[in-house]
Amino acid sequence: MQSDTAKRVQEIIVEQFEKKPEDVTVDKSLLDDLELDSLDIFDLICALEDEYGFHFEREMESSINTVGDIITQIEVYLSQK
Amino acid sequence: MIFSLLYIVVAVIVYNYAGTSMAGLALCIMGVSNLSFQLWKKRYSLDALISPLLAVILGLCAFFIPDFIIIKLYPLLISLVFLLFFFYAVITKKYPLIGWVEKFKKRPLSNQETIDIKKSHIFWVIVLGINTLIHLYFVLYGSVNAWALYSFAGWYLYFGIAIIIQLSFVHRETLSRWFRNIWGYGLFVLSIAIAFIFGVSSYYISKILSKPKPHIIFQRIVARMFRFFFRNSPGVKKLSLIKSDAIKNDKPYIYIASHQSWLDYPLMGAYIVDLYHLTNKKKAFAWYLRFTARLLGVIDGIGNQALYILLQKLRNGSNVLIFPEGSRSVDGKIGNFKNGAFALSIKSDIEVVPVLISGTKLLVKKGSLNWLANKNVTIEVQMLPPVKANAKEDVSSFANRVRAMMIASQKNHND
Repeated sequence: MQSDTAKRVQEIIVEQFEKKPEDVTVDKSLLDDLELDSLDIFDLICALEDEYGFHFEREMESSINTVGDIITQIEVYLSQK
Repeated sequence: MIFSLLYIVVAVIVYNYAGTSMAGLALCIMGVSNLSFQLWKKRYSLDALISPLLAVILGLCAFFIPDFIIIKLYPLLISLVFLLFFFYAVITKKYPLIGWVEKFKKRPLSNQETIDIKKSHIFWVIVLGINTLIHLYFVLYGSVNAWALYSFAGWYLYFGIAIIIQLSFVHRETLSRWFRNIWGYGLFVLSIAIAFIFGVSSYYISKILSKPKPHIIFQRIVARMFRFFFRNSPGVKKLSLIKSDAIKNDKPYIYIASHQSWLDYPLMGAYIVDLYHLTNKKKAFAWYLRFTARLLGVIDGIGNQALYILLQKLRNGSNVLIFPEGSRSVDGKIGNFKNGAFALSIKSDIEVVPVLISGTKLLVKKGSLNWLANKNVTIEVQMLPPVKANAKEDVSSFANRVRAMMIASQKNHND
């Protein structure tokens, strides 16, 4: 079953980049499958910072390649908060 | 036609061994043979019959009146007949070349092709007129060998050149496009090559001397070569930079530029040094490009990693270039902005410099690599005063404010 974080991250990506919800699954690559570019990923990080109040430079050090990577890093951040 | 090539050679050989009468007889025999062949093949057109007919008549005349000048008249008269034929076509506006070309191409000609072919009749009147005069000169003043050489081979060469000129005229747009592309891209490659040779050596000297940021000297040389490239590119009349006085040389900025053509990258590189920018290449550059790309400031990273690197570079005093529209504009209007560049500004507390680029889409536009045929193009880079996000202004509002400012400046400038 999908966690609340996963649902919300999916919603943000769908809203921000006009994607179909069924296309935004945890295994999807941001660059190859969702066809986001570096600037899009900047936008996404800003939106996530606003949503969860984290600071990406501290909390998102490792590379994010898939939707699942984002969810994992946010869940780790929320669990440590 | 190929058979008639032998006329002159055989006539001159027979003349050298047996005199003018026998040369005339040989010419007459060859003419009769050719004429019979053409009639047997049911070819009754002027271009098929004129050559053997003249050979028969002139050969007979030379046989009875042994003067070599009669044989010399043969190519002159053929040229004269064709001159009159084309002259008549121009006067009566009945253009035989249209039918010939359609037969050759096996399709009807387009309107433009028909216009071009009609015009080319005048060209052929001039070509045939000059050819007739050359033949006349050889008849009156040339030796037998000189006459034979021009009549056998010289005029073929002359007509070959004329045909090349004719084809160049008909295909002038294609040729002109090739020429522009070779000029534009050739100059670009040449500029890069020169910049690379001098830039890399200067880079290593800077490194040996332990100068900070040795890539700056490389980018300075590249900038100089890019300005040279733009000033001398096909169609460019003027290259100009309008830079706000508020931009300080000793401060780093995030340059936010409007985007119309791939040429915008080298154009920005022509004016800003110690510059870093993003790439959307998902895989790292090939080894032979990696070194140059790094010196040119291309960030070897994507997504959040690229954001880390750019922040680091800005804090280290370097400049960053971002095209916030994400792709090139087709009509020159500024599209919607992505927020990333503005988030970078807020995070790093570094001002953005809005940059308006104009003219590059008139050289190479989106969707094509062909250099366009525009002339007197002014390439202009307008750097507006630096802007910073206001206190409590969010990223989207900041991005929208800068976009509105750029649209207003673009409008004022155009007015």
